Amino acid sequence: MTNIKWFYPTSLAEVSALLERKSILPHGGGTNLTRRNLAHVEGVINLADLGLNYVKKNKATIEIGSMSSYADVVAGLRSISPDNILIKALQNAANTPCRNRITIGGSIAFVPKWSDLIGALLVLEAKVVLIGKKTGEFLLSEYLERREPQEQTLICAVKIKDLPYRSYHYRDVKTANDMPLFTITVLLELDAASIKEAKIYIVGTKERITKLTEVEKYLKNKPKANIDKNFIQERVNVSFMGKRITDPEYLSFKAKIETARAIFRAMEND
Amino acid sequence: MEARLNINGKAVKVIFTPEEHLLYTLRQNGFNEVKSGCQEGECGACLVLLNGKPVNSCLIFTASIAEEDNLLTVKGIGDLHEPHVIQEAFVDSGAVQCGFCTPGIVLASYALLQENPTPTDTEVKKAMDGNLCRCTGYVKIIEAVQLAAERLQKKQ
Repeated sequence: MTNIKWFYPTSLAEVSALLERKSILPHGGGTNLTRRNLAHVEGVINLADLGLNYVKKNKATIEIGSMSSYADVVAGLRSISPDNILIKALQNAANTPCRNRITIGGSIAFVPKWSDLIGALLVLEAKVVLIGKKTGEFLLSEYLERREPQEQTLICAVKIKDLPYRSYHYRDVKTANDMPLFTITVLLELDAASIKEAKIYIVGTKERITKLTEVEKYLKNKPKANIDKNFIQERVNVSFMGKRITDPEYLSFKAKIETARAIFRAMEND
Repeated sequence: MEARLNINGKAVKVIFTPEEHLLYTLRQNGFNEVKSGCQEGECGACLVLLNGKPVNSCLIFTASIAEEDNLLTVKGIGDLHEPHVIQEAFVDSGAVQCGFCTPGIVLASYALLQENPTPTDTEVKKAMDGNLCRCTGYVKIIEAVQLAAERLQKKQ
C-alpha cells in the first residue's frame, strides 16, 4: 500500500497551486497512470470537476477541453466539423471501452508511441493551452519538441483551425484493434487543379514523430495531374526501431508505399 | 479511503487503497460477475457501464469515481431469476460457452442497443471491439445481439 494522496480541485487556480509540488500528477481518468508504478508519486490530482470536457467552435477555431475522451471528441466533432481528420484518426483508435476513457490531454502529455492522435493534431497545427509552470498557448509541435513545458504543467485545452481541407489517416495494424505500428496523416489544401499546401506526418518512427518536409515541398503548388507516386516513395525515408512482431526494414518500405497511397486517397476525397 | 459508490442503483460503501483499481474494489465487495482478465484493457472481461458507457474497470482508479456516478454491472440489468432480454437472447442463441467473457459482452450489447436499437452486424462488431471471446468465434454473439434487438423492438 502506498501513501498517495488524492486531490479533488474544482478550479484551475487550485490545480496550479498543486502543480508547484513536483511529485503530484494530474489524472484525467485515462489509462496512462493506471498502468504505471506510482510508488514514488506523492499525490494524484483528479481533474474530473474542472469542466474541461467540451468540444466547441468559435468562428474558424475549434477548442477541445483536455478532459474530453476520444469518444467525446468524435461525437462532438461530428456535429460541428464532420470531415475533421480527428474523427478519422480517433474513431478507430484502441477499442470502444478505452476510447470512452482515454483523454486528449493525457494522450498529448504522455505521447504514447502508438498514438493515433498526435499526427492528426500536428497536421492541423494544433495549439495547446497550458497552466502551471508554463502558462499560455503553445504550438503542439513546440510542446513536443521541448519536453520542458510538460513538467508541472496541465494541458487545459487544444485549439485547431477548422478550415476546408482534404485528409487521410492511415494506421498500420496487424488486426483492426491493434495498436498501430505507425500512422500516416496527410492533410491537403487544394484548389481546382493543384495542391496548394500539404502537411504529412508519420508517427511511430525511430524518432517517434517524422514530418515529411521534402514530400510536402514537392507537393506544394503541384498540379494534381503531375504528381508522381514513385517520386514520393523515393523521398519517404523513415526508419523504425526493431519491433517484436515485424521487421523494421519492411516497415520502412511499407511507409513509402502507404504514404504515396495516403496522398492519393486524400486527393480522392476531394 | 472510503466512499459510497452507486452500483446497480444502490449506494454501496467501499473501502479501498489510493491506487486501487475499480475491478478489484468491485470484486472485493461481492460483485464477482465483473471478471478479472488481462488487466490491460484488451479483453473486456471486466467491462462495466460508467454513466451508461462501457469502460474497463481494470483501468480505472476507484478514487476517481464520484458518488453521483452510476456504475452498472451485468447483474444490474438482470439476473438468473429475472433475466434481461439480452441475457435470454444470448442463451437462446448459444452465444455462451465458458461464460467468462459473457458479462462484459452482454453489457457492451446493452450499451449499444440503448444507443442504437437496430444495429447492423458491422455496428455490432464495432461495439464489441473491446471484448474478446476465445470460445464462440463471435458468430453466435452477433446473432444473439440481433435477436435481442428484434425482441426489444417487438416489446415496444
